[in-house]
Amino acid sequence: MEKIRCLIADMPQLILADIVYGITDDNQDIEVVDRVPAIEDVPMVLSEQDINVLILGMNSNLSFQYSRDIIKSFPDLLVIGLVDDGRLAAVYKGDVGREEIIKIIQTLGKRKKLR
Amino acid sequence: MIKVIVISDIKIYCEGLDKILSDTHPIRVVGAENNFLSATDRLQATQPDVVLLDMTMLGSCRFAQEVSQLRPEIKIVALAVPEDEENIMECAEAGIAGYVAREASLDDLIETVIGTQNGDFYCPPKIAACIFKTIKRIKQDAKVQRLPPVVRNNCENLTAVLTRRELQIYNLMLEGLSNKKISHRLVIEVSTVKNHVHNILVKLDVKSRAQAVMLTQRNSLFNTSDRDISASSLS
Repeated sequence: MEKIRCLIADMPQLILADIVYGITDDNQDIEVVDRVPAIEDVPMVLSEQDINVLILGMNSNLSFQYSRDIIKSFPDLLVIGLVDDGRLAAVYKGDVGREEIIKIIQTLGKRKKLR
Repeated sequence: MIKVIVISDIKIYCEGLDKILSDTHPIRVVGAENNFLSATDRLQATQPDVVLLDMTMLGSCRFAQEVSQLRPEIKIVALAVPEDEENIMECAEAGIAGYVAREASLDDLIETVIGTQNGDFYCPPKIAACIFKTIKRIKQDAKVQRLPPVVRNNCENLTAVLTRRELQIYNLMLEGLSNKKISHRLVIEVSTVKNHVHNILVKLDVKSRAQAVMLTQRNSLFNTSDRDISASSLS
């Protein structure tokens, strides 16, 4: 089965980056292809390698702006944003239709019932 | 093997460090807890060597202090200490044995855990600088506290207390000049210098030149105009 190819970018908090690398690379379905220090390096890597998922540190307003530009250029790319303290995450995907949104909700939306 | 408990209320750190450190020799993770209640139970059950504690958790310093007091054999490594003086010193006083910044790598963290267990002290340069700076300030404050109260209180009124010539001589005392050298510099008799020094010590209510000098070093008593008083200006 083809592995899901991931790129980790713009995570100055190295422990978080190492953790993300460790937990994803250990999964047989996932391969971390590369790690780059800055978001500005991402477009070049995306143009040279086949990447399915970008795991991005959301450290600045620049990250959000770049994410939008990247998704426009690479609409099939899934972007997972992690705020640098590891508490918050966001998912960005280009050109989502009804089915994609339902799938994301079904995958990520399941949780314990609220009291 | 080094038995480690990971304590963090950030899920990805707790789970991630649990997984990664478990695969790292010679570390064995005996607990990964996201609150202090379960962490306390785990401490009692597993007798860890090292606790890796996320310092962004509310109450982390107090927890570290309690562990240090009740279980001094357990070494505490602080992860992600907020880098301001108050938090850093609170951690130091709580008995933290090692520090890891969030910007550190996993290798740095592992090295710190292993080194701390071996009795070494690991600390990012910025935190070490803050600790040493605070220790220096505490020592200086302690010295000033040993000075007579009237001296401390008069610190800001020094220029009103001493005459112009006395200020000039005091300035030269601060430069470390002896009475003989002061007399040469100002072209006055040594006995005259001694009289002025005596008057200075009485007015500052100190017992020695050293105390008088220490007073100024701590309190930066002179402004630029006073320090610029030269021999020629008094002729």
